[in-house]
Amino acid sequence: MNNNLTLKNFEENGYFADQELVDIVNASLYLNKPILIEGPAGTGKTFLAKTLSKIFKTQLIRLQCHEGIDEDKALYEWNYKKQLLSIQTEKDSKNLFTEEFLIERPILQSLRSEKKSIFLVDEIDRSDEEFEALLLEVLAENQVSIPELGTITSKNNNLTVLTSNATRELSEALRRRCLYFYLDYPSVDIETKVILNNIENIDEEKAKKFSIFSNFVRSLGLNKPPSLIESVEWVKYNHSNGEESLNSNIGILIKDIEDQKIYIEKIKEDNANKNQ
Amino acid sequence: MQIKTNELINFSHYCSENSLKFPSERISNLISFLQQAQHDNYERDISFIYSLLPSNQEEKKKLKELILQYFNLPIFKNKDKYSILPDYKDERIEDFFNDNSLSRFQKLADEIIKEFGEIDFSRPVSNNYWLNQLQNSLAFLDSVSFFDIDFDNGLDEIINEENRNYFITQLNQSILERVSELRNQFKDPYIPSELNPKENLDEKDFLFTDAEERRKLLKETRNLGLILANKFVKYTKSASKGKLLFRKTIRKSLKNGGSLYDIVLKPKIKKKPRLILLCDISGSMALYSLFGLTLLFGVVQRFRSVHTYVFIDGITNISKELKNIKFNNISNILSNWNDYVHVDGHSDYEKSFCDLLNEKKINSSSFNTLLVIGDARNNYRPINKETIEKLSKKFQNIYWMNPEKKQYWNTGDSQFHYYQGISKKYSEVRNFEQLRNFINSINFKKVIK
Repeated sequence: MNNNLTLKNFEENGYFADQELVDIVNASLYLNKPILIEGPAGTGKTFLAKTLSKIFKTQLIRLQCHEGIDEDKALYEWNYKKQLLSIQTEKDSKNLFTEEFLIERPILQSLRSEKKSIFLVDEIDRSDEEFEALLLEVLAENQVSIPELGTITSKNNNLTVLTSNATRELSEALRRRCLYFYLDYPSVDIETKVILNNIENIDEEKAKKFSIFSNFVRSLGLNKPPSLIESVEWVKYNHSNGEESLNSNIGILIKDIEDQKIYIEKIKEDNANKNQ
Repeated sequence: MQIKTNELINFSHYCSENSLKFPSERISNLISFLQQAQHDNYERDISFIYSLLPSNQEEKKKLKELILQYFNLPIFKNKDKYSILPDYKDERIEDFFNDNSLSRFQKLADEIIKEFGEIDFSRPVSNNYWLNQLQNSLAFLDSVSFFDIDFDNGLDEIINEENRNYFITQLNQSILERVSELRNQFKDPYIPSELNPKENLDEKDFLFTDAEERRKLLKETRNLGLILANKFVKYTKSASKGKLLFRKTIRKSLKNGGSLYDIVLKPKIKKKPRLILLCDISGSMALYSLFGLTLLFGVVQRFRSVHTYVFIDGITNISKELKNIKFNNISNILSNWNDYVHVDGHSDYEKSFCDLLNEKKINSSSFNTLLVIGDARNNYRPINKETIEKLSKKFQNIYWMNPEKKQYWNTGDSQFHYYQGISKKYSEVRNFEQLRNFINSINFKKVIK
């Protein structure tokens, strides 16, 4: 893989970020270590992995974590039914634990893939602590042990990206093996670029105004502040329909009735202040 | 790599002196990366230290401060939160929002201080006092007056308001710097920490936090609640491993003519926490009960089976309320304070604990852990030793967080010594640091039987 990515590489693929993020991706490529990305929902954590796979033109292998995920779903499984059928039809002694009966799950898939690939472990904080321990070997050594087959080592240096919403404290052991990056809500500068990229016929000045506005909305202390994609969609819809009012279609921007009340009150308040 | 390896190692020593330790593996990784990176910018090297060494958000915050102290280089993201509107007629405004605006703000701050007239900086008041005085001066009001424009567009109005806020914070900062410089001429001996006092939010007493800080801390407190809830769970393996459920397996095999194609395994249910949380919301608890409630809220969000109570002179189960409430509305519980008064509104620990022991739900099932947030001030009412004994029998583990300063425990009407005796762990919890330490030190998994 090309060792020196620049901001331009990301921007060509529609991802806008700080230099710090680019630095950490470069470091991860050089040190061959996974990146752990934490941050609130909707700031582009998963999209980063997708963008990386676009930049390198490689396959993206995704493992979505959830409560109760275990090695059968993440690593490998023996095809039990096929094994059973095979005994019944062939009737002679045969090794049932071979490649033929192995079902690959995402982790094994990424380790054995012929081409280099991006391996995304999404929302790791939703899995159980035991599952974290299972990941440690893969993350540190790029290999995995299957009792019946032996150790499987990756042929390529895959880039692994882990994302987390920080609903649970991850273990020290996992953190130690990764590079860490906290992806916060975008700064005005970045959001402006995203708006310009996503919406046609909008001038830079207006885009900047809207991004300052969504920054302001996030600072209102809502239960669920609008994510990047929500604010961009809201601007997109309002702009294309020529809506000027800030109170229209807030269902796109804010998805909570209490929050909507706070928002409407705040906007009114600002108007009232001016009128005095 | 511009930074010398020796310097880096010295810096890591400096960090570990300030209780921020990095494993040597990380540092060697950093050095090898910097060596190959081949850029000739010293500041860039420093920014790599900042982004590669820490492994969580707290370490990052701390490292930022240490870098500023050691290398004297600030790490900040350039956030331009302003947009120049066409309605601004004053041309000076563009200069202020340029890249090198810092010197302009300093100049303006100097002017404002000059125009204010004679100031006796030797007076023993805080810098913020002078800032307040200066903010009311004509020169200050005049300098922010170019934002006083009427807009007919709602969006522009908000942008203007944000611009004004940004401008004022920048100006305030410059004024504060200038004021502390001037005031230090009257101070001796010279103490650097007072030049730029930085209060650590984590160590700030909950009582003295302002609204903004409180919101930040409350969010963190809720996260602590989630962590606390997780501590009380006994994890079990998922249903795809474990004991064979014979009856169902045979039943399923019938459709395949008796071949065991699908096997059914006995699902293991996650053990839910057997935990009761109590929070005192009487008047003496003041703001601390808000933090207590937020902690309870976090726990309930994760596990709905947890029993949570508030008490003044008798307990009330608020698990249901907490389940249905939103994070921003937690303080509403405190404003409906009178709903939770049973007798006279003065805290009564004796009656509350008796109530707890008599609760049907608790009496009939085996709860083994009790966590109390309270100051044990009983308004000179008697405490029955039998109740204490019953409590310690009923609960194997009692954890107690007391928001009162340790020196005041057991003075006046505080009856804490009764409960100290039966608590497995008790501690003074007045700020976030203490709260976090207390929660982290609860090691529950060993205790589950």
